[in-house]
Amino acid sequence: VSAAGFAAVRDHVVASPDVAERLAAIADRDELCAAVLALASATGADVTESDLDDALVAGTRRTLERWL
Amino acid sequence: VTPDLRGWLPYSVDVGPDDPELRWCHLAGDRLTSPFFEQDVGDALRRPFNQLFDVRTPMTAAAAHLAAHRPLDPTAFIFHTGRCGSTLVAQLLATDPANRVVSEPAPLDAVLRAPLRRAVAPERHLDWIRTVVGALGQPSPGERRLFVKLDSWSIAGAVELDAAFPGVPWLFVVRDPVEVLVSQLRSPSMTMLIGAVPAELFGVSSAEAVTWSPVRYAAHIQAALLRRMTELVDRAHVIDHAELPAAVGPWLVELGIEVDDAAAAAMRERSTRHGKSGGAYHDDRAEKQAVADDEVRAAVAVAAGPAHRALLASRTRPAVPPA
Repeated sequence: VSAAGFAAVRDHVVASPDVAERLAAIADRDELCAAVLALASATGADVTESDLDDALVAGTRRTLERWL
Repeated sequence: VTPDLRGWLPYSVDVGPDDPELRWCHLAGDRLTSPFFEQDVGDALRRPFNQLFDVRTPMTAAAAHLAAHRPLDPTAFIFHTGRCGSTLVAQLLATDPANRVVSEPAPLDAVLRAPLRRAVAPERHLDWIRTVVGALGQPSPGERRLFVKLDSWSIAGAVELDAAFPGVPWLFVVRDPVEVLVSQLRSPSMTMLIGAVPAELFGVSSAEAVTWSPVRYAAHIQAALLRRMTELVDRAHVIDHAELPAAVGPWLVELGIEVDDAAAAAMRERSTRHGKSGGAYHDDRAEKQAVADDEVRAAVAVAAGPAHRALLASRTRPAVPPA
């Protein structure tokens, strides 16, 4: 994951409850990634589709580790 | 960047760092309605959003957020002896959309037990407890009250919880230890796993407890929990499993909560289903008594049975008012 760009988007989401609420309600991964890329573009953060794929893989691993 | 964690739920706490770290998931406006906190967390973590964003904050950042965005004050804390109907009580409460019901939240267990893992000054420990309860008590839309059902062993942390939240009403839910033991021996809970829940919380060393039979250890746990509840009984309303579900309504009235016809109907409907599985409920007290063998009865007779009777005899308020 491109640490700086993705972290900037995450920090923006965590500081913006309305944005977090809207994104959290998206049940489809592709739709969510498109929305996050649009948000990154709007906020000037350097985030690619590959960054999001990596973050989702890391998230899946976190979830598995939690349940194992 | 200052986090604004409204809508987020802390799902774990690492008490190791000097400033403990909370991990958060977003609930997307959902209420906590599953029998256990962990189930709601599992549902939330499956959301793509929570897979994408790994959000962690220091405890101090969470406290600062809560100072700016006041959460619900706790309405009541629910302690119990395990396998006693407390999950049904939580589920009855959750039928009211005004109630936020947090059922055995791991983050609170972690901070209550933090002094077993590390040194922490008492006042700082209380701050952690307040912060975690506050973070758990951030309301979803429509929620006005906060009920927290603790893990069974959390009665060991009752004094700290009372110091953090003086005056918040307590409920004790208990059951005939013979029936509890039959359930625990069929399907042991985490309480029975000495490596997961230290035996020291029940007044015996882990080294000694591992030499005991499961029946003896289960009976010892029940006796320890019930004795501690008896010591604290003046602080609590007590409901026995045999009095469920009828005793919940009067307890809510005692708390000053109006139970209107719709709320009563919702609780009645939920009470027809099992607290944990949600399947059709059948009263299994007679069946559990029938299958309890001599070893179980003898182990319970040592201390747990007398402790259960002593607790019920010592309560100052009737669970169900006389007709």
